[in-house]
Amino acid sequence: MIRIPSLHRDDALLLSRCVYLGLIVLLFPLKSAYSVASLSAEHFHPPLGPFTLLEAFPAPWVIIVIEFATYALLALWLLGVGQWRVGALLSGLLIVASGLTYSTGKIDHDCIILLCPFLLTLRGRWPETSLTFCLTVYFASSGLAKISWLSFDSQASLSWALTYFYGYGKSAPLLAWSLEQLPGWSWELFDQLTVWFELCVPLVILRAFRRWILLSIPLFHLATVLLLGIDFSRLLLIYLPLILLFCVLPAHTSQVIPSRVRAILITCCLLGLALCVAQGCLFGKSPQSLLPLETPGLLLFPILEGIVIVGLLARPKVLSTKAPDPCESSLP
Amino acid sequence: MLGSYALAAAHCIVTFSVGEPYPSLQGPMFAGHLQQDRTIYVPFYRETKNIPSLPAHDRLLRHETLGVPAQKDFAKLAPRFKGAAYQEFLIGHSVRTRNPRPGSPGDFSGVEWSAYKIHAPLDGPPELIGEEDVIHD
Repeated sequence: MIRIPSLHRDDALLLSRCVYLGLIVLLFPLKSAYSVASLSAEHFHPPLGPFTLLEAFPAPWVIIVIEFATYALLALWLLGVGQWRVGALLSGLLIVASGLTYSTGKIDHDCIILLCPFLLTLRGRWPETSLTFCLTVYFASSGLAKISWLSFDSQASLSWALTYFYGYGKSAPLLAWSLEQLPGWSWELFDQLTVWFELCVPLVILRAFRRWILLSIPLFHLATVLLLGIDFSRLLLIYLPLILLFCVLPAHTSQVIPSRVRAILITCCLLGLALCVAQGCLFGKSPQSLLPLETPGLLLFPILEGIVIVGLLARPKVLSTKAPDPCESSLP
Repeated sequence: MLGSYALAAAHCIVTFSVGEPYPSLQGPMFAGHLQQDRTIYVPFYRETKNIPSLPAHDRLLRHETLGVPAQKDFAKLAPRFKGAAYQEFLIGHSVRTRNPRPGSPGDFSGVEWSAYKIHAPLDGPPELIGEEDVIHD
């Protein structure tokens, strides 16, 4: 029998912050708007929102100030200073930086990732509730946007695969093989499964479906990486904190992470963050990941699937029973 | 759960109607292709002028900034393909290249558009037929 210790809410929140920051340092560096700030106004195509009030990219020094403030707030957020105020400010600055980065016409899929720091500073069970809700909206929105894929007259996933292969020169592990071997009807099946799966993810809110949805999500992402080379592994910034928060049972559990371990974890994360800042200051580089994995999802989604399976084996009822209300949470 | 669907629907409606720089094409863009019966077109472009290279990080930028005006003028660029179904391949998603060049977002100077033509039967794998210029640049 696998035994996983119950996490105190403060433990889970601390680990969530460390995981979030650790993944940013190791694999998914924050996107810098500095490189686009020098572009002329004719390249400025902001998305809907406050950025439409601007006529061009702001001066590079404004970007530098925003990015330094973001790193400073990340450090405070990791330490648990300021709680929701720091979380809200940090998420706000992340959204501003991301909005500028994506003001060249590209669409971003990052909103939920940027909101995460704020949501993790909410009290009680709101972090897992709000993260789950955002995740369901994310998938449902993606499914609704692809509603035309349900037409049997065209195979959108095949068209994407052809575009990636011939147009972009992508080399996903199964892309060339699938284009050589798979008949059109299997791509139609992939279209249907994709849309219906994404539309079904909100069912995770119902306990009866929760475990099946959680088991399916890493497999879905893995299939997408293998077949099309589309890697959504940045969503681990949401998935891992959510899994940790699901481990908060029961409410009266005492903290299991010794203070010395907490101090080591925080110090490591802060050192990593300092390294990220130093990269930009000393070498003038845009943030780079410390682990140079070309397609992290190929490694991370199987690991995530393993984590979900182990978690479900260790706590078969954790997802099907209602968690007791937590004690008042206080950040370390 | 219903709230999730409602918010997702609202998000899609707002985004696809008034949102991004691709006013009416945002939704179909997710299909990412241009299909006519069992033929799929994969548009791409060739550089025709020697223009200095952009830094590597601007690869995506090139793809998007050219894409915006391309999408706005789609009807002029590809008159054979009318209606949203044929706009499912967005030109903006065809201009990625390993050797990006800067281009004026107002026109397509230095760029020659074309498309791979692929036969895609339901009972067999797709087959590259050749190239056909469906983009009127």
